[in-house]
Amino acid sequence: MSAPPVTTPTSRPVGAAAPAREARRGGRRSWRVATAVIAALVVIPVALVASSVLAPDREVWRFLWQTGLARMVGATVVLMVGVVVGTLVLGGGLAWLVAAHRFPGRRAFSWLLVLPMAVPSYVLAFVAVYLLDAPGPVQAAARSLLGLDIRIAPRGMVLAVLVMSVALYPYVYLLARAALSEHAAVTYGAARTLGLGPARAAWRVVLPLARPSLAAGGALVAMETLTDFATIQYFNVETVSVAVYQVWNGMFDRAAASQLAAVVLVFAVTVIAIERTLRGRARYDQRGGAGPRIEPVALHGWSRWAASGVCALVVGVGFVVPALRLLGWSSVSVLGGGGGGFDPRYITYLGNSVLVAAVAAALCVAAAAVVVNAVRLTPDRATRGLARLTTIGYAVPGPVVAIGMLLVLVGLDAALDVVGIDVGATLITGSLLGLVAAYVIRFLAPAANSLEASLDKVTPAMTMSALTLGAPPRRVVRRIHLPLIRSGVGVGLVLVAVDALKELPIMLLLRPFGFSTLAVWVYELASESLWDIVGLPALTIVAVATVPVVVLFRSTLRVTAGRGGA
Amino acid sequence: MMPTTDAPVVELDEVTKRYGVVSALDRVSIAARRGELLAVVGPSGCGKTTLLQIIAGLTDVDAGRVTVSGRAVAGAGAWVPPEHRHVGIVFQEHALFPHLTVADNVGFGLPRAADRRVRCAEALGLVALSHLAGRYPHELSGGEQQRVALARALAPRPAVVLLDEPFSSLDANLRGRLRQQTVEVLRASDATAIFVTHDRQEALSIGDRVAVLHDGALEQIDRPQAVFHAPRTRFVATFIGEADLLAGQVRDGLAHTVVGALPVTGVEGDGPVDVMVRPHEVVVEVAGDGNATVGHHEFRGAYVLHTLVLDTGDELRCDVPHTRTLDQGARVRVRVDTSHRLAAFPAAGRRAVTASPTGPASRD
Repeated sequence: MSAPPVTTPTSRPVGAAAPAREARRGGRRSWRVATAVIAALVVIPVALVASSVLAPDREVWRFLWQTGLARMVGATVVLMVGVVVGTLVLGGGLAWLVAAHRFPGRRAFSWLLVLPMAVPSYVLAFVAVYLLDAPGPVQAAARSLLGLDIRIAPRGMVLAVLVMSVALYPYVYLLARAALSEHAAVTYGAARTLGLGPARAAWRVVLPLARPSLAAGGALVAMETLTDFATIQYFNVETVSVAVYQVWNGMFDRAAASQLAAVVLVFAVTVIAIERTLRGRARYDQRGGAGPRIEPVALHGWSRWAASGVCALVVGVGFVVPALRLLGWSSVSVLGGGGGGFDPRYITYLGNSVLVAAVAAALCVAAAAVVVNAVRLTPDRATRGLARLTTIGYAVPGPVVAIGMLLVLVGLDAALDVVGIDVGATLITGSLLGLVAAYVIRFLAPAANSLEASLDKVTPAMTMSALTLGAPPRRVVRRIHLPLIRSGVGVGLVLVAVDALKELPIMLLLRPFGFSTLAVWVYELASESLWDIVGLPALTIVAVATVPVVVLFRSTLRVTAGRGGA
Repeated sequence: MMPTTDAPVVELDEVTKRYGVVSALDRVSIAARRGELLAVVGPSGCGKTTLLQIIAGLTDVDAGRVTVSGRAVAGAGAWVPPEHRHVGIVFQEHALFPHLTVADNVGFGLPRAADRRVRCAEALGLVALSHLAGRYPHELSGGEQQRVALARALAPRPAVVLLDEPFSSLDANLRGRLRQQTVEVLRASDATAIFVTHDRQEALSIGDRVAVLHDGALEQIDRPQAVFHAPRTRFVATFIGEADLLAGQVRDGLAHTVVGALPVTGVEGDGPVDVMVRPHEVVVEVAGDGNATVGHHEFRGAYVLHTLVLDTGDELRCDVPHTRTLDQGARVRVRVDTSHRLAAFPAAGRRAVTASPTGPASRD
């Protein structure tokens, strides 16, 4: 660089160009206000449900007690404990098996084991019921092989726990894998050099290290279990969430439904409290890939094939068998053979599903974009706190969100009546407003997470540079943040859209009269055992849900290649 | 040195910033004059970066006032957000926008006016990078990125440019050359600049004035020569260059020490003092009846830093040209060059001294 040509600019007169002070402050305030509004949208429905505990209605409680509340609470506890234990054993065990051992197919199973995530539990449940039912292939084979007249109805708690464990273990598997790839390797190595065998080192060092992740995974599973009331109905298991659905859908009893939803909320708060206690002061992250990995131990003899067999069995039961079964049924309906042929309602319901998923995804990502940008641009404590509140919906069971949203709509309706606008019952029972709002509450967290992860690549210094160069916050977001977080926006849209497409409990509680989606249709068809028709819509849901699973986890779960390993 | 006028472009008045119970800045008052290059130096965690963030508007103050070009921008109820302060900033990691070309990066802060392209080209010419206007940041070397960041900050003609350790991410060979070029560019554009660094050599060599921060407090602000030769505090003495403190008694303006009577400044009246002695001021000659023994030594290239153990037990470091060697254990006579007055501190504050054996490391 030679001596540069001397230009002698003078400083711009600062005062002249400065806009009024209110406007200057306002640039930040509108972001903060928007975050506060989103936080209020998320919190108010939950708060309304919670407040119904504070004002218990004795009549309602007497009625609930008579209809077996104690039994339902008991069933809820048993189901949750059973599924959490089942997923911890399955997810934690498989994660350890894949992370620390070498056996045929390890690389493929590493990510194939996430695939069951693509099969919603209510789909897995009815496929299981079909296969295990008296006329189904399993019992038929048993009868013909053994010559015995076996006729068992596949019902009950045990089966419900098993099916939900297979459907939900990937949550634990993913978190456990992340924990194992982060800090376990070095400590595990240290324990081995101190004379501990692989199993003892795993038990005494790796398990305590993975505890926060396992606790988080268990809590996630517990919330999903608490949310569900479709899956377990196939097995005649009655939990509190089932009761919420029945009380609302069968009797439209708002008071009873909200009191029951409050009971569900108590369960959720208990789960969070337990998770916090187990996590202790440790923190967990979902970062994959970084850091040294555990050097896997080669398995020998029968144990290597046993390892492959276990993995194959889980992937088979959790994904391959249901997918093939659905494929079989849908080929029947599409090719017009045997059963009912192609049902034209499929097109309508597919359209409805796409509409709801697209609107939910767009709104969630837009809201998440406001929140993460507000945190970046106005890094004060209040904005941070509000931002954290906006993501609590993911930890609130679906029935609570749905009933809370109903209470909001009822209040809104009453308020409109006061000002003289009578919309009848349409607001509560005839509009998509509540449904979409509930989806935003429930799915804002995954959208916010993917945007936040993306925004991490935009360093604070970049934001500050843009601001000091005179760009107001809106321009910083438009010119710098948004172009750089495009991938996060894409991931967020896909995640929310798929979640919304699969979602059933909220849809069942809040859908307008006459409005149905693929998920609802699948639920109804399966309840009536219309297998040939249920195949195609269920397969559609599974196929769509497979996309993000493959795209997101195939690369992050990559294990070290064949022998040696880096 | 460029002439500077006395009108302060940036003025911090008793600025305090706390994070919880920790004071990042404690009643700091600093003013940067028009056209001046003010170097702010201190060890990590001394509050330098907080200082820049407060001036740029990325952090608010807890107490005190900040003015930029005479306008109150923070404190006492005033608040101007960063985008309206006309303060440019160059970050350590350069923070170029990765999805914009060099020209778009430099033009980002310019209003959409007819002369936007002209000004953009002008700023790029200033850092001699006109030929890279169409490149993307990832296609540039570290030094080029740093120059683009400087051009981007200068393009809107800010009232002041803040530089936050802009060279520390570059390797040592490049750093010295780029430092000189940056100073030339800042001078050529007549910019007022505040330059934050933890490197005392950097601060001394490019600052018109040097402000030394320690634990959030301003220890001294003065010309480099004054900060080096007449440090106001023990911390400045030992941070800004290698220094040993020798105990002595002042009588009639002379400090009587184990190495003789030394002319001192910085103390009033008689009494016990500590006299600051820098290694280059120590003169040593081999003498069997001397007053010290040669301790260990450290090869520094052009000279060798020897540690001398005085018979009183005090240690004194001494620069010796590399052509001379002093054997360990040899007896020597130690004198101190008395051609100028040495800084002295009243001995009452002695326990506050934490003069590390080699002083804070310089990165150069």
